[in-house]
Amino acid sequence: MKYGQRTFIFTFLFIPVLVYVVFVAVPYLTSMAVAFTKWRGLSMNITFNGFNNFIKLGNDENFWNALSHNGIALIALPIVIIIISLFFAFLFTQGIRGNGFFRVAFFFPQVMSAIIVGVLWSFVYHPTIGMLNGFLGILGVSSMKSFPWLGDPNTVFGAILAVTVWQAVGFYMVLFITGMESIPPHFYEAAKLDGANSIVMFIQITIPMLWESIRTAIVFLALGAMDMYAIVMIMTNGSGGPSRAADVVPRYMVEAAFQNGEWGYATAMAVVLMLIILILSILSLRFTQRETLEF
Amino acid sequence: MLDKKRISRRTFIKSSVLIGGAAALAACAPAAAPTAAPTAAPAATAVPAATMAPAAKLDLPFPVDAAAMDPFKLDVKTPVDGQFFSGGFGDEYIRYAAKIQEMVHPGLKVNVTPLQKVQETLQPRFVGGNPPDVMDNSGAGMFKTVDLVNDGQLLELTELFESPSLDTPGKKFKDTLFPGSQISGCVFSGKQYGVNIAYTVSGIWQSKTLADKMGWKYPETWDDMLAFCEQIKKDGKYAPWTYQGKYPYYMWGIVWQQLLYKAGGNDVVLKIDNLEPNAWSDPAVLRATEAIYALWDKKYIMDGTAGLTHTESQAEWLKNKAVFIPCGTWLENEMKTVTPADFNMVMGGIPGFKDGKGDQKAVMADGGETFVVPAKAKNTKGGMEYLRAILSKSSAKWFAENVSSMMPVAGATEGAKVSDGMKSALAVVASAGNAIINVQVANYYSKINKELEVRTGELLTGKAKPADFLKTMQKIADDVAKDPDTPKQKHVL
Amino acid sequence: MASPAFTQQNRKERSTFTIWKALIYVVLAFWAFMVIFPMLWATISSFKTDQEIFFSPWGLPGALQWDNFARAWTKAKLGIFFFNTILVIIPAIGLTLLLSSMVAYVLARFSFRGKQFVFYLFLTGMMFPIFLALVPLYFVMQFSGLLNTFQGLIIVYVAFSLPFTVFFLTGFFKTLPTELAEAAMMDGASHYRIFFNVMLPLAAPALVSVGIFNFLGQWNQFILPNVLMSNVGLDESQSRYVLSQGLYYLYGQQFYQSDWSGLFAAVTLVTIPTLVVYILFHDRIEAGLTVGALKG
Repeated sequence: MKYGQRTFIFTFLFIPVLVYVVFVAVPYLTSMAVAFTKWRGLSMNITFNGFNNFIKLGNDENFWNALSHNGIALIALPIVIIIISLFFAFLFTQGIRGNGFFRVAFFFPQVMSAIIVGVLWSFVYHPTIGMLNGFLGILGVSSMKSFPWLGDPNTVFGAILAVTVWQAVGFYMVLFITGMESIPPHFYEAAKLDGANSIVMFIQITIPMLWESIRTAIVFLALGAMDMYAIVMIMTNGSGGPSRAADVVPRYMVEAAFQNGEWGYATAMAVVLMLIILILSILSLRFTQRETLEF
Repeated sequence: MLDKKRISRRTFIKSSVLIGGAAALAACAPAAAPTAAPTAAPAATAVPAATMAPAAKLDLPFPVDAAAMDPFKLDVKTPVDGQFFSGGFGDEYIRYAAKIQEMVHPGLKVNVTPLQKVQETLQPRFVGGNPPDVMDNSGAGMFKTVDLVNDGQLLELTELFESPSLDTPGKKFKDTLFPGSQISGCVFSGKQYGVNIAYTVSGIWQSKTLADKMGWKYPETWDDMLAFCEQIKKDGKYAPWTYQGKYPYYMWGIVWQQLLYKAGGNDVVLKIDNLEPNAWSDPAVLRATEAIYALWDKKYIMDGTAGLTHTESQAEWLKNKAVFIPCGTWLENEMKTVTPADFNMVMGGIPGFKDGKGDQKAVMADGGETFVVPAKAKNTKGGMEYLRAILSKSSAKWFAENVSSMMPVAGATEGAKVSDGMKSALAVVASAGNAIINVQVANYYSKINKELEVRTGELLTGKAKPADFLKTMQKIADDVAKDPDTPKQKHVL
Repeated sequence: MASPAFTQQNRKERSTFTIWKALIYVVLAFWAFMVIFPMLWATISSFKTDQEIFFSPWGLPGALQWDNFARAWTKAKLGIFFFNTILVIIPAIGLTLLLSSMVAYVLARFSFRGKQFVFYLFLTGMMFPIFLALVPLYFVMQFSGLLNTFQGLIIVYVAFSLPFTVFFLTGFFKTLPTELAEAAMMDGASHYRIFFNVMLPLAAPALVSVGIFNFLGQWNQFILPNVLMSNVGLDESQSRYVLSQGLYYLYGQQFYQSDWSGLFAAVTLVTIPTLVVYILFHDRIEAGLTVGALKG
């Protein structure tokens, strides 16, 4: 029996692990080794460079600038998205009609590809024919006429974060609604007898009961905040925004690699980012999960 | 594009070439190069059989000298792998050249793959040592040519340049190309690594219809330009200027660089290009920088410009929202689907300075869309032959007629209909004589390129003043000069 | 959706809070509008000429430009891209689910040496940006002769989908009751039979959910095919592109040819099926994505 079990485990793990190691792990590990080299990325011309790439990173303003934007996203995205989606989830429990329609509509951006989202929102923010300025015009905000949302360093990153919020809110809303449905109704009944209104109940019962979902949301959003590559690339047309005002580390990494031909340096950035992500995930997983990590 | 008939004729040739091929090769082999071949030969059939035999046999759309048939001695069994950026010119002209090459070399297969992000797609192939045989390295995702050169990845093209032209009898390939068109992005430390297949003239564009209606006269100096902008602004009907917002390249690459030359002449250009210490504190640099900054400072730039992409800002300009926009001659083709029929876009040179040190008539007229042959390609000969085909007169003529742009090939527009925009640009070139502006620093150093992009954007949105701009750029130039990892280029006139 | 009991409790209060209710609808309608309007605008724009898009961006098309769609479908080869995508995604999803559930089951139900290592091996794979692996991956593919092949792309999709899927399914297998498996064990069933006949059917809801999750991820994936299916020197142009890659290509081309109407037509052609599929299966999709998050 014991022997059969070991063969079973082996046969079940062998192919998946092999595929994973060959096509995922080996390429990543190879790339990480490159972080300690000088490599132009055009031929097999590679020289060892020790920790120089990492030292250079420390002095690179553009890197810190990009990292700071990931940092802003790391704080802003979870807070804003969770508050808005909790709010919507709360509204959905208030017994509204057309519930299904709203739910489908809110969720849909989540299933759209980054390119399509990017194309649509570039036109929303378009200075002259864009919807945003069009509506501001209707509302009589004339000072914002033709304002270049994606062309001004003060607004570009906020505008991109807003798109991220727009895309994610429906998803987390549904996540929270699902969580709310599993809260036993008698909790609310008891509170109601004590004369609590729905807002009080939401704060005193729903949120504590949802804590597990909220923590999950924090982890997911934190990981997302450290990336942001696709949306920044598409909405700034690859530049990282005016004055690099919306730059994020993955995009800067691509610039270093593809435009400056500094592949060793770029992968050093990736390694730093990876370490940060690793630390963040361990911290947040410790903070959120008790089951899945206890092996 | 080639019509079906011709292609089917090619298939016919394929079968007949087995018989005729030996004779054709025999006809190529003797060194008896035709002297004074009839340049005006109307058709292959009218050409004496002795000199033009292969052409006649192959039923080419043009005559080919026997000596020009196969200078690189191609092996027709090895297909040519061509990877080409496909942008504003589309990809049909690339296929046209491939067809020409296949016709000249029966049995040869020329594979054409159009691409967008050239580097993203092809980089692994370079690293892997199996790059394509020829590529169009252009567009937003292109390789920095200089990086490829520094890494020894590109074939030096002397052999191609010294070879006979495909369909300009009696001339070498290099002698059929416009002087000065094969430098920018092609020549590094004095060696030729690429060919530019598009001839572009860059300047400031406006609608002739609008100018005529309003009775405007194109400004002669930059001071006139600013005064004129002031007048337009006062009228309040149009914004005086716009530019390609998210891509400030057009402002520094086209306007600022030309102003730099006009203010300081080639002395300053060489100082900047060769990263000399304090090059950026030359008064001419400040002058050029202040000139473009004035457009922002005096509120001549259309509202919202900074948030637009190039095609979007050009579309706004086509709506007459702004009077001027800087661009190269590709503008017409790029915008043809949205250009109102009566718009009539024309180009003018960059107005200079009365007391400037450079030639005030000078213009930026150079080649763009650089094609290269990777040194480690399997079929470099096939790659070079492709370049000979694409810069043939026949290909150039097709390009002029179908893409409404120009190849830098002598006689390319003979008999072809040239657009009004191109005509106006050629007039600017004609008045410039041989004074061609050539600033290379951004081609040499990727970091300076990117930094110019960022800092010009700041300058034109008031986030930085000219003094800040110069200071930052000097620092970047110094960093690059000091950086041992960056191979240095030398710009010599 | 709120639980029935909960909404019933609220029923009495409804009439007294009409203003509050109205406010709720305003807020919800506002957000729904923000989602729908851009898509609606893109769809309307896809029927316009390029000139109309820029000269009267808010107006309705003068005449319906069906040609835009024809151009996107045939000239821009969207039709071929659709077919290729299906050809890749269906086997990729199947294999992803099979291989992942095998790993997940073993990780969730057995203890053995190196288990932690295997788990973290997969877990770390979730954290790295894909393009970091691109260049070495290209060599792996070239070396194994999988470059520019559909099989190659399928394997790569599977490999990159494994981490999350394993992670998710491991959590799920842990929650399944052990009784059934134990009963089957008593009857003398082998581990293999238990897995395929008992556990996999039990895991069906989770498999559907995570399958949908992977479907969306692979449907929208464009970095991998862009490099691994660049179709170099194989045949004419983009005959092996997948949809997202083709869309990326079109998006790029738009920068040089200002064919906005064609781009919007392509966007519409891609969005509409997604929308239809989504509306039909939204319960499953939402459950798939959110349960994935909760379990993960």
